[in-house]
Amino acid sequence: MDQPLAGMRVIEVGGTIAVGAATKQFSDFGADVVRVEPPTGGELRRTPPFSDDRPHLDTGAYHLALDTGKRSLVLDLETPSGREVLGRLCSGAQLLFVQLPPEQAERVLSVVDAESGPSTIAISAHGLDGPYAGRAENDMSMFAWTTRMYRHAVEAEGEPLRYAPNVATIQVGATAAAVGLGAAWGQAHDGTRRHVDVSGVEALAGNVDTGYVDWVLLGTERRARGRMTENYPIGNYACKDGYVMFAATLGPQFQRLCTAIGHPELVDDPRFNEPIAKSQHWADFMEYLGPWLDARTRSEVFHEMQAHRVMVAPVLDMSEVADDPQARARGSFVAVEQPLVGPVTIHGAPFQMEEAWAARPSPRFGEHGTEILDALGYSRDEQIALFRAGVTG
Amino acid sequence: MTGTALSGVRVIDLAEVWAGPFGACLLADMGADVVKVESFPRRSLTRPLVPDARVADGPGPVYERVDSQIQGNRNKRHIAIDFRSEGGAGILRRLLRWGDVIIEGFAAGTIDRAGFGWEAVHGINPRISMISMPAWGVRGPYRGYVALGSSIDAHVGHVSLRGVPGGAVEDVPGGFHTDATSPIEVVFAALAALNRRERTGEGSFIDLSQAEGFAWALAGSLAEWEIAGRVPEPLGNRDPHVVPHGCYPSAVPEQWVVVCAETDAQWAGLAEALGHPEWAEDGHAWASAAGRLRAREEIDRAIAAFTSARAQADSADDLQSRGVIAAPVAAPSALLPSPQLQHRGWFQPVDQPYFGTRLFPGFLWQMAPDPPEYERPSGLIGEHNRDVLSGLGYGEGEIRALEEAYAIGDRYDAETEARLGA
Repeated sequence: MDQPLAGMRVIEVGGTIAVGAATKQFSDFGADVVRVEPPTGGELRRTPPFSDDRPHLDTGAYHLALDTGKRSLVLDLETPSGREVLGRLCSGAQLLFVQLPPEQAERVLSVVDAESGPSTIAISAHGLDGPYAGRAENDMSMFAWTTRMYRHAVEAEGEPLRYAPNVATIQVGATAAAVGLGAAWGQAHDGTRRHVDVSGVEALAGNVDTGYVDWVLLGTERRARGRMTENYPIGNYACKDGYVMFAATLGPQFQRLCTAIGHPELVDDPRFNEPIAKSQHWADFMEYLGPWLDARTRSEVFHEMQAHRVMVAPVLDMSEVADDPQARARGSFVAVEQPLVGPVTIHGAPFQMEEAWAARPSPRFGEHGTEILDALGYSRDEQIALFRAGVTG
Repeated sequence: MTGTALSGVRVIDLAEVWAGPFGACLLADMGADVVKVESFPRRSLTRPLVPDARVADGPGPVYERVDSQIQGNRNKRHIAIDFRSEGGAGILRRLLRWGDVIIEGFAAGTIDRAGFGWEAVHGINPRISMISMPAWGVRGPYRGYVALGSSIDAHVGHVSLRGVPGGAVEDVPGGFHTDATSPIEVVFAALAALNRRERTGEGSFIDLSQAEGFAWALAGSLAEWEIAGRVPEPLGNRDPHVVPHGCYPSAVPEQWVVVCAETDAQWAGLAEALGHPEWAEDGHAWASAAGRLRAREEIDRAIAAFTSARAQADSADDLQSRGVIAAPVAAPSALLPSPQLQHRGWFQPVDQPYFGTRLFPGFLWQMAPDPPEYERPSGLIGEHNRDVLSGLGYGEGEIRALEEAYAIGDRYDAETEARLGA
């Protein structure tokens, strides 16, 4: 292995899914990540599903997927003793990721040496300052602020919907990881310690898919409109064994689609050859496309259409994704032998770089306490004192 | 002056539309010197000649007023070249010798056919890293397949999760989430490659499947199958283990508010707001998180009655003051009045030549001591041809010759279109 982040030490504090997602990328690419765990185990270890549906800090899905290769140290950072340990831990680190309510975050950040300490990345829903800084948010309520949820519904003017659980939260974590790696690069090259404040709302609403720019430049606020029958085919269409997703409305795409289904003449058909007529003849078009789809599986539709360079893809459910031929050929999923659970299939590398990525098992709650405290120079008597005082776990 | 953390890092952005270009923006926000290489005389999808739904009103060329072009291209220098021509290929070769990272988003195999596949690039400059980012990656049986973000959303399983319980799959709209996730992975990948080069002296090739770059965000849903053995169904806005957890109407049509109570303390605040503090007192069935699970519909009705009588922001503010998770489902127009975003100075006034100064969404992060700033708005086509080419050693005569040969350009018009046809 020649892991790109070998030699880097990263500390994570807060026990949340976002902070776990942020440091996972460091761990899997070779950094030594110390997960400083709240005595409760925190959000990440407490979020289902669990093996056998038995809630347990060591068997939750997010822990098994996002804590890969990290070391675990339980520490109560609401105590001076806990913060002293964190201070020592930080002195050898390049990055500290924190997600805590603002006042607690400030107390934790204050242990970092202003000159020689690691660069710090604070993750929160709204940022560490401002009138909303103390608000209670979760994956869905944060997402609600970002203009995405407004546009996401299954019927026109219907109830807005979130994405799948924690998709927004993990995007925030991944954003923090990216800027954190930038800050570490900067510090290594110019000696400047940086502090980064990642507000989840800003990280999502500022990304390129924001609807806000449409509103600024065009004055439009797009919402979901249900099935599109004016310009088509776009969206999900039934075939023999499920659904396929089309994105074949534009001129050349539509032309290739007509050829692919054996009706190249439809391109010049007055019902379909200009936008207004086309918008009135969806049902007519389905008399050609519908039977073609009914006679084929998702896989057949996918490959036959792609042979004509038509943008279509099978709609897979979560029981199918790891068995997909592309995923198998690329190793998009990996099985990790997890303590207490056994082999668990999780998603693989977010990008493939030779010899760069490896997922190791996730640590048991507090598994590396003694090992880490030994290395920080705490005697066993001092470790017992910390444990007895309820600071470590 | 924008951020400086990546000062001295040189990036070539050969990608189009959103995912790749915005990744390059994020590197530029941290101070990387990014040269965006636009296609000439063939135009990108985000450079139309005729107005469509994405084009803002204003004077000047249509292709300089397209929202999807302007969104993903701040803080770069823009050149426009025909790298399939001899002169253009020469420019790209010099750029490759100059750069640390090149990002390209063509369908797999396209860049190789143009003579700039990884082996060629590595041969020109062994220190440069290359990120190729087709939808399903470079390797594998789907090599060369074409996709939009919605195709990937379907293939990684997200479409199967995004609807409402028992709803029709036909009604689930296309989603383009990879346009947001891929740029972030581009940044991490570029910096991972630079970190490794510090030790090895060599650049790396990165096969960035946009599907893989997003899929890991579905960790919990995958585990529903892999650990619990259940095929996860769409949940709508529900959480199977949290009540309340939903989206409720307000007094104004199409304005909704999200309300959740994950803990007993949050529930107590909510019960008080609803005028029933006793719902959170010992002995009441709903005082317990387990008891609330059995009363989802009843609790949802009580919350809907509360939110339906108020404006969305009023409900959210009231509930938040009591420690309850609550937020308006913000339409774009609701972002600007946000006291939080205003306090943070998030909105960025940006002056574009053809439609004046507008407030744009701000940056993905704040950084001290060197925050990201709009050092440059989205560049015009070929705006920095001279600047970049002279930096690469081209003299004025050579630049003029390249212009005359249509190897570089700074406008799209009938003349260039005719050239393309020929």
